[in-house]
Amino acid sequence: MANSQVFQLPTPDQVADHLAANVPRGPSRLVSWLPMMAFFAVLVISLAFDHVIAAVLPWMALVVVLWFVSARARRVRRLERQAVEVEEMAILRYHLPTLERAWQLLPSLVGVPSVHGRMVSCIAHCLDQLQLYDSAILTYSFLIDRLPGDHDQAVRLSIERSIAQLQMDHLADADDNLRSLRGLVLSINNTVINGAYQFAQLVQHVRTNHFEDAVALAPVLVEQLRPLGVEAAYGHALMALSCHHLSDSPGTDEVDVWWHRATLLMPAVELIHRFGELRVLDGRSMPPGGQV
Amino acid sequence: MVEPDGLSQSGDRGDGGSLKPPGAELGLPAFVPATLHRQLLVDSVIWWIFTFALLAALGLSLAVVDQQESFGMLVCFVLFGGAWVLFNLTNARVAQQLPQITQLVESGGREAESLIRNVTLRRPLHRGVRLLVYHRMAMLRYRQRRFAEVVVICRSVLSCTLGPARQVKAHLLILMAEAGLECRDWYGAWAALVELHRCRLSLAEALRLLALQTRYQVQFGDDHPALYGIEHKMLMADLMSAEQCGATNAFLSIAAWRLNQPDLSRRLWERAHLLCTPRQLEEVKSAVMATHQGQNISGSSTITASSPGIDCPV
Repeated sequence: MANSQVFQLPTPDQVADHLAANVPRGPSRLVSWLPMMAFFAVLVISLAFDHVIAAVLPWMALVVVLWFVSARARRVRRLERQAVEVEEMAILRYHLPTLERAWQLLPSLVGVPSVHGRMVSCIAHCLDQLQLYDSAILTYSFLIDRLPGDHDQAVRLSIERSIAQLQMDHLADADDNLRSLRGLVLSINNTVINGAYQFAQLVQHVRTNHFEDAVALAPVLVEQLRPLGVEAAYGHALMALSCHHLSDSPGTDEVDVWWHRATLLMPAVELIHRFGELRVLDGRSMPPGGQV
Repeated sequence: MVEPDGLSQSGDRGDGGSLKPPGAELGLPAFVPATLHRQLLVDSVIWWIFTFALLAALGLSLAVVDQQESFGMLVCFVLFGGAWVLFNLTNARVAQQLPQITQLVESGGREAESLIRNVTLRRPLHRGVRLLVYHRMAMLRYRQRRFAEVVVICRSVLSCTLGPARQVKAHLLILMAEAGLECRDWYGAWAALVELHRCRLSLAEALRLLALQTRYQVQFGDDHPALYGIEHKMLMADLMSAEQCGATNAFLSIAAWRLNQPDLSRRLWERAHLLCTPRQLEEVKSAVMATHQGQNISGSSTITASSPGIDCPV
């Protein structure tokens, strides 16, 4: 599929096959020591024989070893550069081209585990943003299984996976994940992870129609979602939706204030694209004199 | 091989204040530019001595290849070659430690100071490797908010031929501009911003440049250039971290207020309010206040302590 003229979105099976075929492996010890071993072998030969070629041989071996080492370093640098380009495309939200580039780059990264992990992470993020949640869950799991459980990145990816599970209505799986993460999130002093966890809880309350529980998060929500940057807009929008479902009269100020906060940070069309249920709030505006 | 003259304990801050915060004596001493230049000179002398010795061994071993001394020359070559490999291994080990230093710097630990200190005292190091270590030192000092020292480190490193360390040139300039704005080294900040426009930047660096340039322009009352292409700037700011995005929105809001665009100013301020903590917003306001009260460089100050743009545009 990656070699076809037009890149097609992968199915979950294709994602699983691609990841299984490109599992990272550490640098081979034999390959690492091969240049030195070859050099010393040539040196011994040159000491053993008294011939003009034997004297020149170590120097030639030295040149070959240096060329080999520098070529390998150049290759790793080139791959790292390509990985950074792919990550920049992801930051710029070109999700489909990013997925295509990362997909094609992955096989060449199996010998560079750190860059390989970053690329798989990019693939997971793009699949998530393209709403291919089944594939995204698979990819997140692939990464999480290869990280220590209490690693910051593992916790962050677990939260992302829980949100993707909620989007697919895998409510029990998501609940288990979020419960298991609660202690870890509290122990990690990382405001972005705390914000992401609060957002995942909010999504869970909305997906399970526990709007009272969602609204209970309101007093601290702005503060807690702040580290997420403009992505906090989704949280504000879901809070507006929760208020909307709880209010007797649909035109309450609370709904408008939260929706106004959300649309300040992100256009309504993007909010609705990710959470279709927000469509009921489209077109609302802040009452005159309202405060953010 | 190691000489403890790497760093002087008696640093001079340049702004008249004491360079060392309490307890700094236990870790990495203050940076002195002359020390860096001396270290680079010594490194380069040792490197060339090694290289010439190696080449001489090669020449001699080839010259006497048919004579009885050929075995002795080969042993000589092996010795010099071994020393040369050892030298490169030291460099490789230090280069491998750089990501670890970066991690320690980002976690703000005391270990970063001692590790940088130990690494700077090693010699000989390749010029590029040594300059990269000093780049990490600048990052550390920036995290410790020792901005005057950051400016001095960045200026000294940038004054050297960077070689392989040119990969961090843009980051050094960003650190220099940011630290310059913090410690009111306006000319240094301006020069760094100008130089940044000549560099090829990554996306993250381009975003930081946008944030810094906006801050610089608003602090100096250049409101029209600051608001030029505002929609594009807001889209770019959305890609920044929350704090940086909020601060950029706040600076733009102040510029819009001063240009009598209250609706735009209000919208930007509300965004900033959602992205920044009240303390961070206070820092933005005090940064603008500080420029206009204390320095008035541009002579175009229209802002006062009671100006509505400073109190809050909304």
